[in-house]
Amino acid sequence: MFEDLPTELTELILMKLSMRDAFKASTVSKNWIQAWNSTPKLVLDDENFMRFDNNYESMFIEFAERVLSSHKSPILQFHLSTRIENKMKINRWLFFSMRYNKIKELHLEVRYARKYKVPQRLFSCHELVHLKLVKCKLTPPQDFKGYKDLVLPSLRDMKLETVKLSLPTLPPDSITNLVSECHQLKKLDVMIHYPDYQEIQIVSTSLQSLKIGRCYSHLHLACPQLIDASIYIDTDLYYWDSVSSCSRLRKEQQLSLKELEYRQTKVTLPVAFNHLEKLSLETKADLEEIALAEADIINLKHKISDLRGQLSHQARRTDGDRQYCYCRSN
Amino acid sequence: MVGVKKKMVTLVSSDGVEFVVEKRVAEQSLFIKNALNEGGVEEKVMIPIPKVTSDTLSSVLEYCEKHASATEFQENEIEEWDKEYIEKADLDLLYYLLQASYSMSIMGLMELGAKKVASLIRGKSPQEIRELFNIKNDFTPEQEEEIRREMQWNYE
Repeated sequence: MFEDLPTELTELILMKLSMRDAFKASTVSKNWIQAWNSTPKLVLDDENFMRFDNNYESMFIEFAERVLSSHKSPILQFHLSTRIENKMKINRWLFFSMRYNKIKELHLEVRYARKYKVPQRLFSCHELVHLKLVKCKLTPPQDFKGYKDLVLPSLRDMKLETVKLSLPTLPPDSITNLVSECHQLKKLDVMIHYPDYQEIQIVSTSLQSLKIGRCYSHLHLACPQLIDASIYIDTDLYYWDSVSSCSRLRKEQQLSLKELEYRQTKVTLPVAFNHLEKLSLETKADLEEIALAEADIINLKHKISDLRGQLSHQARRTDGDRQYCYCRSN
Repeated sequence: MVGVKKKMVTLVSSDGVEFVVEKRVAEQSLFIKNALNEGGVEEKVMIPIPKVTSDTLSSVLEYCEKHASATEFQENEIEEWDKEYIEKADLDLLYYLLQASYSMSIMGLMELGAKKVASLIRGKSPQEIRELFNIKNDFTPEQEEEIRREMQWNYE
């Protein structure tokens, strides 16, 4: 009975399963195998292979190659999450997923110790709408003006988690270029890893939602369409070494007050945030610093109906967590 | 709704049973919506639904009716309703609902049905899946052996 479902329906069912279950289900009949080979979404995750310990890597590679080599139609969504160290293979799989240039959603997480460098081919995926990179190294094209093709015109949603922006000569505004050249970008979530703490400028005429982690010394925002921002204010450079392996709580415990006082962080909001509705400032820093940021915001006389600074956890404070809320409307 | 006459359409199932429903309910199906737009609403009020029997159609329309007035409910109420709705369908009905949602282009119902099938598949071996869904194994023994070798890791 279920074998004569239209291919689209079988695809839809398979897409709702984990890779392991989908692969298993695909082998029930010829029709189902056919549907599996044309599903527009592929999720390759080596989680299932972990229990083979010693040879999980070769088994995962074999599996992935088999899945990809029998895959027939354009891939629209590609998720790859792995800890194998074979960069050549990862490159090849990525290129495969991009070969029709139809890809709309890419999630890439490469968990081995040294960061995987995302190929520049990424920047010619013109139809890419959602991009999520975890623990990779990204080199944004240096000169966007020179390469009209090397932008992501359809990108709406970008998440960079523990991503390292690289190149020894990388100008600190490379993220600025990347963001401002993506004209459709609405949502940005960054937790980038600069070689050093840097000054970051986020300039975008389309950005509506911004989440930024502790990865900058100075932050400049020029995003007139911003309606929702979550900004982490923090000052400690040394966090970065342990970001991937420690839970947040442990990291916070490692931080000493001395370092906090030593490094000053400032948030500058230089442009009229006419659409800003919610701004959350999260910090472990002193109230004074928060006040500084607030003063900046208030001076600009913007319509901020809800401004909330959360003071989470200060090691030596005796009264425990404190909350500071400030509301105003123009 | 005194004085306001609701626009009605008549749907005819493959076994010839007529269902008179509000236009906005029927339009949950893109297939019907397009048919209405093409033909002009006034003249074309009888719409045959090929390949969908009266039993299935009545269940499909139950779904359409709920979702036509979805704005009156909280999102989680609708979710809850969907869950109960698909839960009470047996395998045969589930199959026919999927086929109907596909041929009538009712995206929400298609999603719902596919999700249900996926939940039944999860954790089962290919043989168990075949038995549950009455799917014939059309591989030759050689092909099957090859598949078996390929996915060794999956049979552990």
